[in-house]
Amino acid sequence: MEYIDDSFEAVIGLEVHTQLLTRTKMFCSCSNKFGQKPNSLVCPVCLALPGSLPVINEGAVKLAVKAALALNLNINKKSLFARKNYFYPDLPKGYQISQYHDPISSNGFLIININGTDKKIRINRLHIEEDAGKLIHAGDKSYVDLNRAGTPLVEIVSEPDLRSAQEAVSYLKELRDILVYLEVSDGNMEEGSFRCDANVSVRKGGTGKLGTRTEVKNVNSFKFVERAIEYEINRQISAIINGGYVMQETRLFDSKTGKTESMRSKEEAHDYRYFEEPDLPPLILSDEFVENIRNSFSEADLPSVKRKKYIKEYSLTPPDAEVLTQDRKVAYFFEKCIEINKSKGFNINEKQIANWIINDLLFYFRNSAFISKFLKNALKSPHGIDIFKDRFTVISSPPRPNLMYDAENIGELIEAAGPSAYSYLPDIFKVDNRENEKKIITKTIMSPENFLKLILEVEKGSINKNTGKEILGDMLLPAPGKEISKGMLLPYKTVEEIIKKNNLAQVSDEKSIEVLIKDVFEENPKELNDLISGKDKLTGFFIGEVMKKTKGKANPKTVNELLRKYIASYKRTGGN
Amino acid sequence: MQPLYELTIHELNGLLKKKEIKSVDITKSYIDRIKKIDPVINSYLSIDPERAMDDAKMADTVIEKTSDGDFPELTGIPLSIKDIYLMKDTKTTCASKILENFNSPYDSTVIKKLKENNFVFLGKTNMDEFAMGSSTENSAFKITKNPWDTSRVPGGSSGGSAAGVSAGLCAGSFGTDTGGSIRQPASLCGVVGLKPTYGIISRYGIIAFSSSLDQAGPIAKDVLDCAILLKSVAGYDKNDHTSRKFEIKDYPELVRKAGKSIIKGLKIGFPVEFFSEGLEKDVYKKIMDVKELFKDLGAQTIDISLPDTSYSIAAYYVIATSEASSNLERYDGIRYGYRFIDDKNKTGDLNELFVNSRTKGFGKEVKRRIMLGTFALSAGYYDAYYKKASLVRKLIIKNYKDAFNKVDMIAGPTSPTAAFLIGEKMIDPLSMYLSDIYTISINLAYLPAMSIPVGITGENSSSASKLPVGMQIIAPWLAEDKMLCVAKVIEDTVGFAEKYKPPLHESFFDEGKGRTADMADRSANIK
Amino acid sequence: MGKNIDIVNVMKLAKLNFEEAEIAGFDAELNKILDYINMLSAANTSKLEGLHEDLDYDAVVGHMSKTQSIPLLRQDAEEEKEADVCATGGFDFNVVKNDAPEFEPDEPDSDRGYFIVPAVIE
Repeated sequence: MEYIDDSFEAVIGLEVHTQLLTRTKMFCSCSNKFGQKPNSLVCPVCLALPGSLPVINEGAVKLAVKAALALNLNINKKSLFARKNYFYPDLPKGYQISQYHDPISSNGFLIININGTDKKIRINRLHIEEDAGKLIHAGDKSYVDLNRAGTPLVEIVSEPDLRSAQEAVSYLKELRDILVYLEVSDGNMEEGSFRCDANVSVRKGGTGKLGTRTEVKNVNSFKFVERAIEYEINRQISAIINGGYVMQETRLFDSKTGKTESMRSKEEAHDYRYFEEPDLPPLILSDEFVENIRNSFSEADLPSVKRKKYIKEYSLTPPDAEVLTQDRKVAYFFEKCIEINKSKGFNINEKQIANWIINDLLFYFRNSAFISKFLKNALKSPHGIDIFKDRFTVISSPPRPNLMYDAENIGELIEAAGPSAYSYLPDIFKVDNRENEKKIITKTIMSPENFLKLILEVEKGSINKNTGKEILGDMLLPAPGKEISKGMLLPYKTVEEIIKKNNLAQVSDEKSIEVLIKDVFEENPKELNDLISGKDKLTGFFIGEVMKKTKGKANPKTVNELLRKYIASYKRTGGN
Repeated sequence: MQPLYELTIHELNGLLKKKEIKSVDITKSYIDRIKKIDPVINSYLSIDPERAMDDAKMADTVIEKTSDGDFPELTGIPLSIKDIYLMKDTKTTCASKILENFNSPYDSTVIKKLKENNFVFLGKTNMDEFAMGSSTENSAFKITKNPWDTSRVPGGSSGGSAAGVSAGLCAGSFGTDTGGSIRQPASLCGVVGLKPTYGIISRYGIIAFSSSLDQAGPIAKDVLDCAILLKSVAGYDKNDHTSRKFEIKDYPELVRKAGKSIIKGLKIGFPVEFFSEGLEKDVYKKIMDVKELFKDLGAQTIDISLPDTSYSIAAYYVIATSEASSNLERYDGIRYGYRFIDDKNKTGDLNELFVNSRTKGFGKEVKRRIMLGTFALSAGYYDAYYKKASLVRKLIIKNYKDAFNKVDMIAGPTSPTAAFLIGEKMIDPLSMYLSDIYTISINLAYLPAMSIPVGITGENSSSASKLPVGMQIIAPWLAEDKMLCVAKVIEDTVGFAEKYKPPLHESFFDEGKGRTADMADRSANIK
Repeated sequence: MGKNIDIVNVMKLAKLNFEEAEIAGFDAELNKILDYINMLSAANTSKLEGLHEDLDYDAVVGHMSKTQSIPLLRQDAEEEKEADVCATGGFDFNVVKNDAPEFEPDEPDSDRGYFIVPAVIE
């Protein structure tokens, strides 16, 4: 990117907050989940009733340690919790329990890759804290919902080692990938379970002195992080070259205008009066505790390692490798496909498999028409509602808890969910870390093996690519009316079944195609004349017409060959 | 026969076991006594006779069903509870306007355990607002009187509990002790009060004043009752991260067995710092009498030094107020408790809601301490105040650690004076703080300590007030068992309860005497 | 140390407000208490060198205990179902709901809803 004045250099540090995927909250045994009735996941502790006391959730500590180890941080065997005091309606105790002087981990790093070069970004610390509740503003009132209050969080603070918005985004993506991979976080930026604040300053290139920094908040997508930081860098540079200065302040990013705006310096009054949390003992971790966690995951599980492997072993392009490794489940699915491809001797090119996953399979998860159909089908199943109730509730803001989960208003839910709707699909690639992963994979509705068989059918030419994609959609759909076991959708159909049932087999026999070609020529005499007289691009038109007649079932290759043969003969005979 | 309200818990338990009386008889006796006496003493903030009778009937059913008297010792025993404990279906006000209408949505762990022991709940007792005070005068609702002299304070902050036990308004009570709030009122009211080792009794459901100092504990008519009450509520609680899986001994059994011989050879330390200026002469004399008594019983009395005691009040007020300033932030007028609503500006401004609700909801002493604590934690002052005080706390712990390397138990006065006059110290908060000089360091050091009555002031004078004097016994960490046993021998030897009684003569409660219009106004909220 | 309390700033932090007349009284009282507290600076805490850990609660009290005294962490729920129950002390949300200064159900007959506050101006 271009700055207003190239002699300036940007210095960026990121503070990332991410919710931990525990079953219960940080300091009480309330359920840690999303989108329930307001104030339904609350107890004396997270409501901050008089007399209530916090108790540390071991599960959250484990996830924090896991994340810290993956980020090369030193685990501090003794860490302390502290209170950060301030009044706000979403903060029931009047203080947030966090870690201040003695965090659970410190001094780590993360390697990011910038245009093929590795760069080490130091991480100052990762500490544990709790989330606040939610406020909904309407008119002259605000509505307080404390379901989220007490959700476990870790805050990961980088050193100011990032030099551009692109570097910041790449750090953030790498970080997110790791946390999602380790199932520490769901990494969802839109919903705020993975959030980022950026500390930005600029300095004249070459000088060691740091400029005054601003903290940019409210950047809830990778795109916004990039835009906000770029805007802020240029704003600061122009302030300086115009003889002004940068004020130390917190600025909010407005995604509509693309600008950052000062929070009117009301922040200056903040004096959080941190002190050791007297309700909690020091957090002491034994060597055994840490080692058990260290042994629970392997380096090979990390996305960056997988990415390198995919590029090297399967000759995937870096962008393709990135898409496949963004979601741990997708990567597992891909690897499972590779494994079966080999063991069953399908001999499909790995790149082909990758393409099918990226362009076709993942296409469906981002296609709202498909999601809508998927959910409708699923909801018609006897236990469909149960599956969705927990996972797919109020994703709109402000929440509309009145929305019922029935097939009729599923469209409204999709709309409310926006682009993140797909993440609410019951996982096709469901990986449950409490069970053997292999077992789970084969239990999914569309097994890797069926997926490969479909690709094979297309490669053989018995169906065309478009039909293949359609079939894929059908294979993904739950069958209405079928029993759904807990969290799982119906027994899947086989590729052969679907093809047979829908009579989708490709029309490849030349005789019937020839008949159709003749029909098309007769129906379009003008276009035929133009074609014969040299307008070659009309060939495509005729292929399209033939395909229409076969409802896409004809093998395009056969149609093309026959068509050209006919046209050539027409040209020779002058149309007779 | 003595009226039932005068009997101890273990005496009542004996009668219940023998089926000579029923819990409803005991409970009735207390309810009558409360109706008659409490309008003068004001020990209760709320009582619920109907509920108490229901509890008693339930307890009687349990007793009837159990053979061999094998039911918990607190079965059918009417107790009062300091209004700082949450108990379902009761208001818990903490004697504050900000919680005036607060109904408890859950049970504190102590209450849960008492319920499991089939106790009879009489009512909630008065206290200093949020347990901040040493006289119970900081209650937002009423002034509790000392049963020995109604012009005097009962001490605080658990003044309602101590006065109630002393006046026969309950068989025993539970208070809390942050800097002496059980021991000092017990001392001033001539009853037994025990503050256990920090971490033995769950704090869950007890409204927090200062988390690292608060401990629950019993106030009782005698040492054995104290042991019974302690045993029934002590133990690890998964809802309180500061509680630990310590071994809880059979305190009542040990106390019952304790004879004079246990004193023999014991080294009892008397800290010179506890006999400094400001110690009332009669108090000094009574403690010296006990020192002699210890010697007579074969103990070795040793003068020891706790050199950093002089810093304890300063350190305490920094730590306690800092923690309190934070603990009391939850009273913000949003989810529960008092919310200020301006007539002309109903919805108002959020900041005004916070500020007005808190300013009008909290009493003066509470606000004073919030201010002090907020200041001590504020930017630029943390190191000089909070951090320094935390270090001084360690010095004090070290003092005690060193001392317990030399002696088995420490003894001294509980309070530098006997009960003072109502209003006497309200004008000067610092003088009130200084009255906790002997009790505060124990909380800072997480130690167990108890106060037992050992004598009376003004014995040789006809005009002087006859007020109880308490002696404090401080034991090493987790040595409640030994402490109770020593206290039991002293109690038996001194014979305080047999010799002295608060002068609550029947005539005192006659029309026109003692009962002023003011008292009638402030009488307990009897349902 | 020895500085006077900036009472207006502390009031702001503590969300308290005193009338002009009151401020003077509070100011005097607090500064008197503070004068007393300032004696802390004289305490010789250098004696603690190397002893800090030994004087922590768990070192001091736990040391005296023959039984287990390590603070126990709470186990995260194993199952979704376990996580749904959080009813310490038989917690009753209805009591909170009925007592709340201002509460609005999320739908007419709902048992749940929102606590209401004046608009939060961001």
